[in-house]
Amino acid sequence: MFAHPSTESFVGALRDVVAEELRLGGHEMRHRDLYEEEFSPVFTAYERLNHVGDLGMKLAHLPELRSHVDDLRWCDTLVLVYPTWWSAQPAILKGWIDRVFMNQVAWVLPDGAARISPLLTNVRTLVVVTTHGSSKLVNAVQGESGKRIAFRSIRVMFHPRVRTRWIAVYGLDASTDVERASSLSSVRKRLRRVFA
Amino acid sequence: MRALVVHSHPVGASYSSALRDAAVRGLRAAGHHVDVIDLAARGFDPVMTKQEWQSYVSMSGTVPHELADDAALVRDAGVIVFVYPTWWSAAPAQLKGWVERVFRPGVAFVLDGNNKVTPILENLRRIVTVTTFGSPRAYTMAMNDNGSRMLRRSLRLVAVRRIRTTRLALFRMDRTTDRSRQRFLDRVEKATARL
Repeated sequence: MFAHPSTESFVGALRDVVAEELRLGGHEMRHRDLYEEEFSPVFTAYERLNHVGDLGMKLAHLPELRSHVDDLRWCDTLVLVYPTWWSAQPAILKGWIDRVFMNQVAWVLPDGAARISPLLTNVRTLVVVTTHGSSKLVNAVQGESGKRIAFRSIRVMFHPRVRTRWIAVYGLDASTDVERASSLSSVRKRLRRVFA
Repeated sequence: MRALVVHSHPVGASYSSALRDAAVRGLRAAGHHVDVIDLAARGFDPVMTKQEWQSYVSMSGTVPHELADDAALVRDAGVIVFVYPTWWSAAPAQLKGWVERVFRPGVAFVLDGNNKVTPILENLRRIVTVTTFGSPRAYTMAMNDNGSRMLRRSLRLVAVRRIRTTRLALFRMDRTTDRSRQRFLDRVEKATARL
């Protein structure tokens, strides 16, 4: 899942590295560029009012979400590639979570149960590749909301023993071209181990 | 003081809109001038465009036309109250994107020569989040309240003054009763009237 307004950005370069390393590891890849497909991240009144409605009926109303649901159910590894803005995922990616991780896709609440059951148990590896304009310290002060959303909130919908990898570049605002190139190659090395 | 209430909920007549109205009543009772931004009613597009991103990177202080009114309200506000449901432990995308697009260079901060963020919101003194959760309190504590965390901790960094923040939360929405919902409305009105 790629969520950045420009493929020519540093985050775009990270996305290319992810794709190359997946290919190198012999994996099959489906790729979504939320900006390119002009994904609407706004959870609508229909979705709120039919929050736990029949899935088939919902997807008939929301055809733009159908292929996202298929892709999410298809993968065993989910890779999120995005810039961290205000300590979390950009709106377009947060909205993808708000809308696609719906009832009967990501979770169900069985009759009489106190807590929800996860449905995306096909996902056994969750990788986040992200950039931060500010330093690691500033992000620690801000509380790394994006990391918590990925590794706590949505992780619970995946396989109970899902493997998680946080691959983050910090201090991008103040970095030089040389430093960026070196960050890119260290991200590549880490991805190679994950996708081996 | 000028108070800005930012509301994000997809359904026009919802409990969330009642919370918004309670906050507005409280703030007015405290003698503040209140402005309301209702993101869903306005059909606000939360996606930062490529042009905006490019002008963000070049730290252009020029505010895109469609964001100018909101930017002026943010600059003038002494209090900002966010009213929203918490989804996936965080703010709805529509609210997150509003922050991304409006709190931009020249409005909320500038970068100095050493690429250090300098806050420029001179009037802001209080940030309040009013939110509802589907989950019980204990689950929310384990997952973290990332919506309020983002709004209170990150936005604090672009205020010139020291900011006080308040979080008002109603847990386990599905199990609430008319009485407990009314109690929370009263709590929101009282808390905002004290600001």
